[in-house]
Amino acid sequence: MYHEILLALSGNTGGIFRDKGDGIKVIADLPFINPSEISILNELGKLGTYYKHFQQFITKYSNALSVHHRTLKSEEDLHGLYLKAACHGIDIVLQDYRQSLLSLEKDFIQDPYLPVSHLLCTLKEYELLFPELSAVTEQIKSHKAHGCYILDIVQKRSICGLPVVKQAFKRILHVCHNVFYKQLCAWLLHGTLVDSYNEFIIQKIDENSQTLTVSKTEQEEDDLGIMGITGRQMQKAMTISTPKYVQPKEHLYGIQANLLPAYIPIRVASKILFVGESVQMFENEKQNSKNIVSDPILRSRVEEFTKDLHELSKQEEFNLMAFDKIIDKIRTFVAERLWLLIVEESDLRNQLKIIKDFFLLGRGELYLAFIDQAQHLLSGPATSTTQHDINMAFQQAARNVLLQNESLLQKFQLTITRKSGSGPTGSAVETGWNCLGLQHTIHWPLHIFFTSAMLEKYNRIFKFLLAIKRAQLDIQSCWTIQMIHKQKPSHQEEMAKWQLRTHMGFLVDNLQYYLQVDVIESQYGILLDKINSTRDFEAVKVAHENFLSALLAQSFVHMKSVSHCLREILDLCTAYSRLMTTSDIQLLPQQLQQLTDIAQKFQRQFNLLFKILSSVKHHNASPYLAQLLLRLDYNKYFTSTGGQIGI
Amino acid sequence: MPREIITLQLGQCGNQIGFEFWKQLCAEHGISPEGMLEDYATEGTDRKDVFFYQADDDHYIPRSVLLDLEPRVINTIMNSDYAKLYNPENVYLSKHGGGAGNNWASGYTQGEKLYEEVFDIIDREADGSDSLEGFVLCHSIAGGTGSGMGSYILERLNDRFPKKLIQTYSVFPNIEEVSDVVVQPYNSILTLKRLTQNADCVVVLDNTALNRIAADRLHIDTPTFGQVNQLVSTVMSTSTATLRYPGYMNNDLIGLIASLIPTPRLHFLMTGYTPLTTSSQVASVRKTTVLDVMRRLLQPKNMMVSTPVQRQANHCYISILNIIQGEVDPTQVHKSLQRIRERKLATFIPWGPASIQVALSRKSPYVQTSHRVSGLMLANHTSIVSLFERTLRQFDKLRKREAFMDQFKKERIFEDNLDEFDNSREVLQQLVDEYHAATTPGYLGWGTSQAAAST
Repeated sequence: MYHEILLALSGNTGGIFRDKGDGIKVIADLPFINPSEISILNELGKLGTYYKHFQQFITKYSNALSVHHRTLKSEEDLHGLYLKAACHGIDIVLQDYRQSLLSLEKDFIQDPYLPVSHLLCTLKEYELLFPELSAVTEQIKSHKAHGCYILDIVQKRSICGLPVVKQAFKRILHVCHNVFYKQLCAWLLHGTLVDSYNEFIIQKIDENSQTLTVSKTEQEEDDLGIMGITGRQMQKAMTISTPKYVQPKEHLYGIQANLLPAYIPIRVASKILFVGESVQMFENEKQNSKNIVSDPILRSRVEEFTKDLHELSKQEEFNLMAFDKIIDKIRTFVAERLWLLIVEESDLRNQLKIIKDFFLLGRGELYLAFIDQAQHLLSGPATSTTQHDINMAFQQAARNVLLQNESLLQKFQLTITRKSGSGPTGSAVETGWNCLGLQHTIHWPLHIFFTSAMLEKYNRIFKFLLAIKRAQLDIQSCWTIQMIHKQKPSHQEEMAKWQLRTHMGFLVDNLQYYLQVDVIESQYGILLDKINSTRDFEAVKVAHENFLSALLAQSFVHMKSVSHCLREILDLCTAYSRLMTTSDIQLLPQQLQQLTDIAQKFQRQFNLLFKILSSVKHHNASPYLAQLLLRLDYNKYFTSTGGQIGI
Repeated sequence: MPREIITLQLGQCGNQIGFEFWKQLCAEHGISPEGMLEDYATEGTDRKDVFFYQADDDHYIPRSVLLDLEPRVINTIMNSDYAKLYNPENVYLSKHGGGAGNNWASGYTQGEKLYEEVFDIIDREADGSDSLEGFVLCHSIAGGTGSGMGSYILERLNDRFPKKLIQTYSVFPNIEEVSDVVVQPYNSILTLKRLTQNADCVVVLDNTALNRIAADRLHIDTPTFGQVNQLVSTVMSTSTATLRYPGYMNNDLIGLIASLIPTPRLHFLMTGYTPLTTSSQVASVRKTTVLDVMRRLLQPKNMMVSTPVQRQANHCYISILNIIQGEVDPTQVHKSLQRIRERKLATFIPWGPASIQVALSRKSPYVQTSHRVSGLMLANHTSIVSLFERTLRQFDKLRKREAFMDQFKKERIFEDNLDEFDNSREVLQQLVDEYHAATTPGYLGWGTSQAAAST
């Protein structure tokens, strides 16, 4: 009889206990059992039922790894290392139970007269534990819990007032964490994702699923505040603008929000993501590039960190504080190491200077020479040889201004992007100038700092600045013509003609001063300060991204209305200059008409610009508009004329 | 293709300030007095080729032409450490060496006679440059050679190089000391006509103000030539800093001056510099900010042109360019501009847009200064007219008495009549009128209504 009960407790049915689908129960109406005993036996039967289910769960899932993965069924079926670990954990907990049964058997053998209530009493604690445990297994099954999500489920259950339950779940969690720590270790220290079942909190992201995850995590992302940019945000930027540029080597990783256990804050997870990504980026790239500059970035302290993580994984209880601290320590180290690599060894400051010199026209004299050289090549529509020609012109210009660094020059390439398939209509043939762009090759490891998407943004600013520079030179060449005729103008028209030049020149000059001093120099100063004041790679990266976005915003590249206005004005300057250089001092009636036309358009565009600028003057959102306005309207001339140009 | 600039130094004064200028340039570019690059200066990213060219033996040679009718100053230069710096072929000393006797007409006539020889030098120098941008002329307007020969050369430069810019650094005489050149007003007025008609930009160096600044600001009782010339060379070198130290803007002469000169005749610029110290003076290094510098530049006492305070006239700035060197926080520029406008520290023309343009320039790494920030202001201000009015008054006084006319009548240009005087006076008077008109809102209509009235 006792053996019958013990068997039932270990989940087996027999003559007395039967499982009719609603759990193991004593067969009713057995004559030799007291009704009061029946309820006790049924209580025990319940434990047996639970145990049986656990056993089934364990046998089903702990071996389910190889069979199911990567088959279609795996979508539905549960699998994975974490599940296996959980099974193992449960098994360990059940080991106690089995131990209890064993000792109970001994008790019964020694004392055959022990009452059934002894069983009940001894196994009482499992009556508390098993329903909880069963709830977990049910939850895992019903939620199709996968990977780290299991950690979450188990951890939530472990928050419980009952010491037995708490203890049991802690043990299960601990087992599961072993898997987690192993993956974490591989990710953090070697940048590899040892995760064949996609269970880790960091996941590779493929294009289509990405947008989904982005939107999911976006909100949490924004809470990061001081942590600033994460790899995530960078990826967002990268994928949104240039999916096609992503090199095959650069995998995209992201935090898998649905796998992230709630007890690991997203803040910590982002750090984990950053560290792994950075490590990986450098390890991978280095293998592929001959340019081996530095040691593996973690080498010096990899042992220490492994030990730390190992220590942590041995702790019974998951300690978020300690965990966070270690992650932080690694992150700080990696960030500093990267900072060293990027800022010191690769001389980021110099690279930024180069970018500023070339893309932001810091070397004014170079572009002065280049515009001279390339004027005849680019004033007409571009042909197939133009690109080659202008690059020659560019190098010639560089040589002329005594820019001797050939290898540096080789990294810059001017491009002509012709609008293809404009059709036979060819309404407005674009001049070469409008198609001109600048490309720059950046070598390891600075490429992570200057992604192609970023260079493209620089290129946009470059185009704009070059257009201004050209307009300025055009207008200046008209000044020479004006200065040749020093005697007083005899007609009102002539006065107006030169007055228009003055206005154009004033606008273009001030626009350029604004862009170069108020925007570029100022922002550049801020960026350098930031780089010098920190030793954290991520902070530097954030600063650089801020720099670039400030440039874009403050040079109105994003502001359709203003930038359109400015472009029109610049075009008018060129048109004016062309008219002036081709005509005599006395304009023919037809030319006069052209001039009036230009003047009117300029008037209109300027008026519009002035209105836009003054209307937003008080907005705090765009103080830089006010800065430009201050320069243009410094003596309040335009305020007094209401934005009209006194011609 | 560097936009080369050829410097012409004329007369005693011109050669003196030119000499200081080249000394300063050599120091800034790390070029030794012999024209060799110093060892510490080989890595520079500065552009020496605007003002220098390299000879076959790596010597840096100034693109400079030294002209004088009497040997004193040029001999001093040729006996100095810097003797080997210049191309000896570019040093032209008239053979008789008798000078122009402080007579404009004499200088002008001699200029005519020496035309071939002088322009041989200038042409050769121009041919030697890839894309010559223009000429810089250093001279004084009161003497004989700088003013007379200078005037002649200005006219001819205009003919020969119509599209090249001509900038002059013109020294105006000191009115506070009794000059030994009694015909100064004659010389000045004749020169000013050419400066108005033939130069594109005249940087006025007023000896009165320079002496005052040297005395007041530098606490020197009787400033020497050298000290005054040092001020001048500071102005000259700083105003060309953006050409020699490449930056984002103002990398050619035209870019520098075009925005300052909206109308062709009003091209007389004042300069101001701060902080001023002499080399001997170990300045107490004061904390200088962009705002400090910009504010001080607007103070009359730092201006290198002395203009009497005229309360009745509402003189104003036509344009301002500040070239600021040193450790500058660029974000401060905008704030300074704002502050200056709020406090109304500068009055601008009422007839068109005008602003303070601020160019941040690098400075030479080889010349140590005790100041964190220094600034040069180039300003087009209508009060410069007082200089011309002064000259006109002095001229009229002399002219009424027909004083000292004999020396002038000896020369060919005045042989038949003295029309040239009257003509020059008229040109200058018109300039004065135009400057006055520029203080009024109706300036733009002024030119045409005048012209209409005269026809």
